[in-house]
This record gives sequence, C-alpha cells and structure tokens, in this order.
Amino acid sequence: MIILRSTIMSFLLVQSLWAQAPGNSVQRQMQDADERYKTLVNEYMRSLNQKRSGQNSTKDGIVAGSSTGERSPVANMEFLLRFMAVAKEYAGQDAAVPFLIWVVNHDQSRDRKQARGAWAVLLDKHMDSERFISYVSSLGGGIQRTKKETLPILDRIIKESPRAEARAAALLARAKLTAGAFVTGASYKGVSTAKHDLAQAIDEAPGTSVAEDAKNFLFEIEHLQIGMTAPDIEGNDLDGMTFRLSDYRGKVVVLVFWGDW
Amino acid sequence: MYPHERSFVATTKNKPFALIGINSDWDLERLRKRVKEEKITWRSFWNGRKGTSGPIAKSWNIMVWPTIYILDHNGVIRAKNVRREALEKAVDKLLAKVK
Repeated sequence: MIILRSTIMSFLLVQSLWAQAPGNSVQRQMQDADERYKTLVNEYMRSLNQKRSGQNSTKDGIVAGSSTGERSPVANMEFLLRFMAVAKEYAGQDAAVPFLIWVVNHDQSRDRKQARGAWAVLLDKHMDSERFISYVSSLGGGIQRTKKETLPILDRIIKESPRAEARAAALLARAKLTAGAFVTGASYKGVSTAKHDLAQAIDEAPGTSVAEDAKNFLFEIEHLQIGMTAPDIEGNDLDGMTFRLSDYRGKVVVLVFWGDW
Repeated sequence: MYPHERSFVATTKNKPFALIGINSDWDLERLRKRVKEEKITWRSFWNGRKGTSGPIAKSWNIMVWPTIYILDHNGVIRAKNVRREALEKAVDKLLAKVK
C-alpha cells in the first residue's frame, strides 16, 4: 500500500514538474484554447437548436429557414464578436487561428466585415501556421465566397505563403473561382488563366492531393466542356459485362453519375 | 429521382436515345437488389469498390451526385447539369437533329 501511494506521489510530482516545464506552457495554452474553442462552438450550436425548436413551435407553423440553420443577425453577430475577442487574447499565437477561421466561415452579415477582419489577421500574422495551411488546403474543394472577397486573399497566399502546399491550394482555388466552377451548369470562362494556375499548382506540390485535384480539374477544363467530344468510357455494367460509352454513338445520351444513397 | 427517370426512359423508348448511368455505390450486391426493387432499366457503368472515388467519377472530376452530361448523337457534350423540364427540352432539341 505504501509502495503504491509513493508511486502515485512520484507520478503526481513528475506531472506537476512536467506541467511547469517552460517548453510546455505553450502546449498547455494550446490545450486551453482548444477547450475554449469547443465550449464556444457548443454554446453556439445550442443557441441554434434553441432557436430552431422555438421557430418550429410558432402557431403559424412558419418553419421556413429553420431547417437550413438560418439564424438571427443579432445572435450571429454576438458569436462573431466573441470568437474575435478570444482570437485577440491569443494575438499572434497559433491558438488564435481556429477562432479566426470560425469567423471567416460563419459571418452571415451582408458586408462580412468581421470575416474580412479575420482574414486580414490570418494573412498578416498566421501565414505560416500549420492550422492556417491546412485550412487553405481545403479551400480548393469548395470555396463559395464571392470572387471579390476571395480573389485578393488567394493572390496574397500565392505570393507570400512560405509553404508550397498552401500556395498550390490557393492556385487551385483561384483557378476554380476564375473558371466559374462553382456556378452550376455554366460553361467555364477565363480558361487560359485557370489552366496557367493549375499547371503551377501541380508544379508547386507534386504528389500531393492538391496536385491530384488540380490535374483532375485541368482534365475537366480540357476535355469536358460543352462543345467537346466526350472522352470515351470503358467499364463493366452492374452484371459485369464490359461496354463502352462510344457503343452509343448515333444516339442522344444522357449520362448520369448517380448513387443509391 | 427514379420515377422521373423511369418515365423519361418510357417516353423516349422508340427514339435514338439512351440513359446511361455511372454508378458510385461501392456495395454491388446491395445495388443489384436496389436496381430490381426500383425497376431501374437503364444500363450503368459500375464505378468499382472505391465508390465515389472510383476511376470513372475521378477522371470526370465529379464532385457532386447526381451530375448530368447530355451528349448529342456524335458524342459531343451539349449540356451539363440540367434537370427535369430543361433536360427534356435539351434532349428533344438534340433528337430533332438526329438523321
């Protein structure tokens, strides 16, 4: 029993020393910041749910917007300001990055003033942060902000980021934005500029998933536009029989990429 | 989605037209069962075990499902991602050009 207790004691002692070691204060602060982030996000989610159930029970039965998570501008602004305030507490440190990204993703105001402020801080202070880089790397997949807001940001990342994969991701996002890839059904434009960006993205970060995405988008631009002959497809049908798309020449074909989900 | 496609296939039955799917379900057994249940008569390529990241969808850079391409009788892409009435209209226009 005594042995056990002393083991625990020494364990606690080591723990407290460990926690006080200078190299770990940054780590601990990061953990604290992550905790605060989680708490704040949870609080935000709760306020959304409350709002939603409140809307659903109105006697008019007007539930429009509730399912899409539309929220009152006032509540949205309150949280934007709170996230910004915490980001300010961690000014210049990596811990601020998630708070700033949250603001970029959640500002629903017309002028997106808070989002623009958050972008400015990210670009000025966090260009080489791992967390910012991984956020930038995800932009190519679905950046849906307006061109006016996003293009100058991408330009700056391409020019100033110290990391090749961040530059490549920004190039891919810029190519998609220039070509109009987020406008459903429209033909692509600005194709030569987009192609130039994509070639550079592939060059900047060879072998990465960003380069892979850039290659696929380049293929789409070069071979899958209205007026182009569709690339042939060869494969098996659901019974394992091999066939080709070109077997259907002479017929008008509606090609549907689908899934039963 | 299926009822609309079923009726569309029915109305174009005697015309030079084909609805071709590229299916991205990874579970082929389940899919075959669903095809029977839903009376899906049109032919589909199967995109393989990798599902949505299988080879055909990947090379066509498909990001959203469903994605629709309309090809004329020469295999030239004439429209993308049009639905329902717009789709029928586009197909009718292309059918009129087949000699």
